[in-house]
Amino acid sequence: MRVERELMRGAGPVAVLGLLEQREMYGYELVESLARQTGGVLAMGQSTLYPLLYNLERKGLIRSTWRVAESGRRRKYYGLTQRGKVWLQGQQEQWESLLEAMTNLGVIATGSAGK
Amino acid sequence: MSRIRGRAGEDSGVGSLDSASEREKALLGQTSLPAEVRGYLRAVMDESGLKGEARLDVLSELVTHFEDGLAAGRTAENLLDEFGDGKTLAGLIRRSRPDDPWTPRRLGRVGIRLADLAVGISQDLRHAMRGLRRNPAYTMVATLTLALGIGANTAVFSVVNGVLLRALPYPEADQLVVPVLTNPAENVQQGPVGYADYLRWKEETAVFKRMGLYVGWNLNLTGEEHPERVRGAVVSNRFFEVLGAPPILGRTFAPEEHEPGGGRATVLSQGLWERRFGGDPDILGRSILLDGEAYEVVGVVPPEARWPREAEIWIPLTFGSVTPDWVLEMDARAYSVIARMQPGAGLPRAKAVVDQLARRAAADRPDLRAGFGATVIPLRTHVIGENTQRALLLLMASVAFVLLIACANVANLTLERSLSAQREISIRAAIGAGRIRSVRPLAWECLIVTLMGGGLGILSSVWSMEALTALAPAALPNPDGTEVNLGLLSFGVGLTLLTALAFTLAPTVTVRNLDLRRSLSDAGARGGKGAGGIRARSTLSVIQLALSAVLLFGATLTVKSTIGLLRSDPGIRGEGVLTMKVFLPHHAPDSPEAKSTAALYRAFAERLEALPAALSAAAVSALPLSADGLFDKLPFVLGGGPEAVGDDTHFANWNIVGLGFFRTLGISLSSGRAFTRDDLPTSPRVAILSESFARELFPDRNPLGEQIFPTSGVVADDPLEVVGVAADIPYMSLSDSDRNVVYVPQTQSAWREMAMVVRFAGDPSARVDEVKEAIWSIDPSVPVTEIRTMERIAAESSAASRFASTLVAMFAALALALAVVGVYGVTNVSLRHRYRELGVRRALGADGRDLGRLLLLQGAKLGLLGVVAGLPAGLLLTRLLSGLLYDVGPNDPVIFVTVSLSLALIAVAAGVLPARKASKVDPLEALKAD
Repeated sequence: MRVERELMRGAGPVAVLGLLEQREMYGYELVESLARQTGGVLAMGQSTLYPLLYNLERKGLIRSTWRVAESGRRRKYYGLTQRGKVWLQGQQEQWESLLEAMTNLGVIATGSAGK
Repeated sequence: MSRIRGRAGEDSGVGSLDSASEREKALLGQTSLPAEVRGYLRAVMDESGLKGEARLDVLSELVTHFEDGLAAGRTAENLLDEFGDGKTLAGLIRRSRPDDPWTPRRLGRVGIRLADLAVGISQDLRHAMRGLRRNPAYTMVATLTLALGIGANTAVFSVVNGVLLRALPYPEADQLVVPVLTNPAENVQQGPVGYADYLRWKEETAVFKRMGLYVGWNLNLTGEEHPERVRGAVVSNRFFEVLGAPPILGRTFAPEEHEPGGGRATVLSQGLWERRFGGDPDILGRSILLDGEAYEVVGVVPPEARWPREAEIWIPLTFGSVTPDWVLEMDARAYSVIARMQPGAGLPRAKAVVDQLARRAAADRPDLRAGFGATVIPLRTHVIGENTQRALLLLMASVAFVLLIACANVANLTLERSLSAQREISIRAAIGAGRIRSVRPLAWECLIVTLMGGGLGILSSVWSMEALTALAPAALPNPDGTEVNLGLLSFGVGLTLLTALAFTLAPTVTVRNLDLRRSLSDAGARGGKGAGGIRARSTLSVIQLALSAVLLFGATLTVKSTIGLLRSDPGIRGEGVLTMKVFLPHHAPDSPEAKSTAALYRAFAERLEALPAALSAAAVSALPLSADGLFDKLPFVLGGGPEAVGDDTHFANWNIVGLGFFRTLGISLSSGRAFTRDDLPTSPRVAILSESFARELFPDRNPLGEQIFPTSGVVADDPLEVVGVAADIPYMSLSDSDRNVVYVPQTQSAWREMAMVVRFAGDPSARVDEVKEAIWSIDPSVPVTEIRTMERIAAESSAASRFASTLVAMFAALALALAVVGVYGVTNVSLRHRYRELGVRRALGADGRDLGRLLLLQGAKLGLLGVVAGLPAGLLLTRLLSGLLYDVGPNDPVIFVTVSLSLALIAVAAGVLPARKASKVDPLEALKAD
């Protein structure tokens, strides 16, 4: 199942920042992780991902550095800034309360949120 | 795989387009990507409109993406498919503005860190501000408490700074000292020195770099305008070199000007030059009239060369008609000395040297010098006075105590805050936030509160300076120095930062000892006031109480001493009395009444007495309570003549008084008579002794009819017969215990620097003009200066004591109030903490009053501990006070017991409210509350 565009607009940045909170990643890695770890739900077209990254960087939520990876390949790595962490925290709280509200309303069944 | 050099992202700044496009060509040339991918990427980049480094950066990243995909086993078609339409991609990239120059990345690594830091701080700040807004009571109380502490300290510091630290304008003023003679047996602490002492000390060049001799010498400056009395000094050769600052105009005295008949030269102060001569640049060589004689102005000196401090004019020391040898033989101790020590010579060495030489002189001439030694006093101490210096330091200490207590109070409040914030902190710590991170908002709260308090404190100290100086001026030697200045501000800021540091650390330390699981499980229920919190708060309260106890001991002693001082009967009736200085030139003016100095003063007194509301008037050389004009510590022996020399030499303060002096000031005579018109220059010389001095000199016989013989030529050369005994009155200050005075009649000891005292039937301050006219009707060339009522003189004389005790009392009251708040806080929190326990006790049958007593007992325990802790420090402090106290022993047991008891009572009283609540605990409610 793919998420609708409007929802994706809200969820995408949170998902990207959530991944980057764990460790720094480069573009292709992000694409792969999003697809693999969400069972394809949050798989993002590359045409969306890179502009999204540039946007986030411009807002100061993430930062990028060119580095040589272990494989010897030079890649642009993205990581969370302090501001990004703060922003992510706020977003997480909102998502949590949204989830809770939806569950309480019976709109979504408990435990089936992941599917 | 080899990569091209200098990809965007590591090159800072925007490179030239040419080099960027060349590097793009190289990048696409070197990559192993299929041609269709390269074409796609080039088209996207062109379509995106990006240029230069930004274009190269995005392109490089996309190239890497495709390379990564291919390396992972994907096909080029597959990858291109995922990217979709190139035009859409280009549009999205363009809108995401990777070329925005304000992208934080472009600020560089440090920039990112800084931006991160700023974001973190602003986040914490917002959080802290929210916390403070939610607890307005805490914020207000903490801010005001700190403002009080910091403000009071800053204000007092500026006074102390002005007086102690900036009192001396001289270059390297710490090298300047004042050598003086001492005679402990006769209570001579800073006695004037003899010419011989000066000559001997001057030779000690290993210790003293320069030394100058001077005598305070006031001169009447006449001619042109109104006559003016100018304070000045007669100074020795090279006197000004001691102070070190060169004249701003002309020169100082030449050696030949110190020779007898060496010409009359004078040096003016910058102030006098500007005030009296309008800063005339052609003043040099001009002749001015001093005491009716012409002197040539040879130089003008700046304030940095002005000594004595109030001097405005200087003339060279010549011995005139007498020879230096005669001065040496007479050993007239009438001079003052100022010296500059060799750098590194050290005060102890200088003291030893002058003392040794003085003792040798005493051994040579036991008749004149028995018991005399010498010491040197730092100029600073000499100017400020040891007691004032000590009073100011004590003031500083007591106000520092107030700050400490204020800090303890805020620490208490903060502890309360951090304990109630414990649950929140625990939660944050539990979800993985670092400990420092968890307490950061709280630390910020402390910092904000301290900074607000400090700012407010500094502001209020600036405002209160005016009030403080208004309270102080007469008491302080350098009121001009007490002003708002950079030193004051930096002191206030430094103090604030120091306090801030302490408080910002407080929550961090509290949270370090935090038991996460416990506080999570029971913090919510009990509001987080664990036993540890109570203990910490109790300790803080005991510290506060101990500090207040120390302050209270000091303040009570000081206030009691001041009240005693103000209530003490000085022995004079000052109301209705107007005083003024009327100094005659060395040569009496050419008026019919001026047959002699004495006659002229007599004429003044008679003219003043003839004024409509005047009751009586007299001349006097030294006014009571003004520390001015007394001939202090002049030697004499008992008996009728020089043959008595060799007996015990006594020292007394001499006062030359005119007829009617005792009547005008209401000084009672306990026996004998006052001076009369019959005490003529030609008749037998007479004297009146002060009461306690008469008792001391003649303990077993009636002093009337006894004779004393002055051994210093200044007062008389003949024996004096004691004809009366007068009540003791203070001359130096109200608290001065030296009441040994010998009065001699002005008719028999002429002196030309007298004051006039006039008693009026009504308000004397309205009579100023009449008084001046009366004097000038006899001689218009005589300056009439320093016109003051006797009551004002008395008020000024006690101003220092009143100033110090008012401030100390204020600080003590503040300290006490803060301490009471502290005790109340502890008891109140303790009540909440023990709520359940109290409920159980109640349920088990305890009386409500028993419960109340339980809490009162706690307050009493704190009070007692505080007093016990404060007692030793209090004893130490009051020992330091001993020199400043009047008629109060420093270890006055009544005061110590009273203060201790009241403090304990106050501590109990602070617990009354919580105790009443405790006695009304409803057991059911209390048990449910857990």
